[in-house]
Amino acid sequence: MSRSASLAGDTAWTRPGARRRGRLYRLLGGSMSLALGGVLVGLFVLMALLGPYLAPHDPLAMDLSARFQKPSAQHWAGTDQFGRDVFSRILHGAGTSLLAAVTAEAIALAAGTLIGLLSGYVRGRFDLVVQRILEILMAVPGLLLAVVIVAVLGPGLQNVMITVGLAGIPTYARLVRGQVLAAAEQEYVEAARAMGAGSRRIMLRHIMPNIVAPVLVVGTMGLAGAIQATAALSYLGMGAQPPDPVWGTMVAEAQVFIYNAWWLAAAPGAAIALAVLGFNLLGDGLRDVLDPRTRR
Amino acid sequence: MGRYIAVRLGAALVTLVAASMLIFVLLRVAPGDPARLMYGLTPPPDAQLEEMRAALGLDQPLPVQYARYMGAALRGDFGRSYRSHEPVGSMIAERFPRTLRLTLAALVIATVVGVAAGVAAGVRRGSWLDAATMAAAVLGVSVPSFWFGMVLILVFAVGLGWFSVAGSSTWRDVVLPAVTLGISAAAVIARVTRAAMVEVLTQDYIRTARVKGLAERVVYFRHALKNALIPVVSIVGLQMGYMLSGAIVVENVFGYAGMGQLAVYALNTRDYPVIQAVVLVSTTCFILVNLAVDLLYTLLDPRIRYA
Repeated sequence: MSRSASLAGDTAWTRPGARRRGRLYRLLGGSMSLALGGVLVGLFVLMALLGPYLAPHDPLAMDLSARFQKPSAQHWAGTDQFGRDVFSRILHGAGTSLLAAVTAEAIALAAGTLIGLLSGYVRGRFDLVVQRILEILMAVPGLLLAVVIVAVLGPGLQNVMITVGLAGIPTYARLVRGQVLAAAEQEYVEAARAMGAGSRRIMLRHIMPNIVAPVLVVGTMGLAGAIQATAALSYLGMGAQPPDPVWGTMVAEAQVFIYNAWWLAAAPGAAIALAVLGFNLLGDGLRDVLDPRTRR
Repeated sequence: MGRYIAVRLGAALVTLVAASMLIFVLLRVAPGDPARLMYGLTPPPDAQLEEMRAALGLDQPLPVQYARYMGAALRGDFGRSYRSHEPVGSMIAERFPRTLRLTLAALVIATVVGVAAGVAAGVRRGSWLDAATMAAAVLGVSVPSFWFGMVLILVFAVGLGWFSVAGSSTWRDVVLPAVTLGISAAAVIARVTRAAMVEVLTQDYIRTARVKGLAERVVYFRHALKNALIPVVSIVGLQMGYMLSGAIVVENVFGYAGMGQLAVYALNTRDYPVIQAVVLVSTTCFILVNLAVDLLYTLLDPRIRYA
């Protein structure tokens, strides 16, 4: 930031009270959230991809002579009740933890967008029925719906992804439907229809591109929510089972030892918090940039 | 107005019936024969199982089973637990008040903290206070509650000894879980309040109030806050709904014997009647809260058409 700030030193700012900011900052639309969120998300994506190669120790290797060691130069985040290196477990868990959230969000996004597009475009009785079904899904508090679904499907990370994905469908379906209804009234859709474009073409070529921005914003924030939800369900024992190094499960395992080994819970908890923070900031920033009306 | 209330009430009732059907059907397709689960690990002879099926009404068609279940549930009879064989209704009756107390305490904390922070940030828009408050708000929605709860236990229960580590009997047991449950709601409420405050402060009547020479304090609290609170009401109600969900996690962190803890315990022991009752009662609460918020909203903001 400081380097790019000096590059922009000759720029005069007319807005009173505004400090001089860098070129990068302006390129990002003046959004600190976007920059910070982008960096955090980038770091976590790198961690998910490269984590297993960067990990200094085997995440499952036990060393009973080195149990409950405090964070040190050798074990950056300490060791757990089996002498396993916590930092290596966090690095290994990054991929699974983030992939679970991404998969859940992909289910919600794909199904929700499709339902929303159809519902908003077809309208009529189809729309009415779909809206009622979505209302019923939304009437059951999220985690309780998860309890019911896990009761039916059984525990496991895969079922947690399905659960979180299902619970997220109404959000996208309603968002996209609203956008489609609004877009359908616009003149460019009318023009396309007058020129003889078919329904599918209008939907995909004309309406779709105009609803990408809000979906992108909600999707980014949704990823933050999905990380939290999958972690919470894993914490409650519905997701990945030990010894798999998944962040939520690691916090749950660590709770028993919290009085004498605080670092066991600290590291995976911080990883979840920072990942969620990253996506939240990125979502905030994207909204600021893509929808200038919300900026104040 | 009367007609609007009737329509909303009817819609809520329809949603409730449909949601209860969904829960009922889902848990009926869950693996495991309920009659067999009643007996635990040692399955009885087939004849006895048949008898149990008939006693539980499992030989009836699904719609009949549903009607019977809901009829009994309306009288507070949710069947018996597969594990403890206790009436599920009394298990719920014992735990529901605790979860309600936790949720209400969390809601009060979230509303007081959220509105205060939101007003402070909105009034001093662009200041360091605004920036710090909004940064804290993003952090507040990002920190996982189960982890934040553990931090609170370490600091305030183990370290300072102000509160008990776990429990659910006295008011002191409620404080830490309520703070944990309320923190993310406080963050959301703060953001909405700030946005509403910023919006309201640009209105003409605020300028008029200032031109009249009213003190800033009067302008903020008498004129601005009153109108800024309208969107806040709806978000507070929504957050209360989310808290019914969040309570599952928080109760398990603190060993707080409420409905959420019961739900997870029942899930782990495949105690379906208990799961069904907990989900049904919570969903009913959720729908009622949303209905109340809707009605309150129309009362507060006369501009909303009763459509």
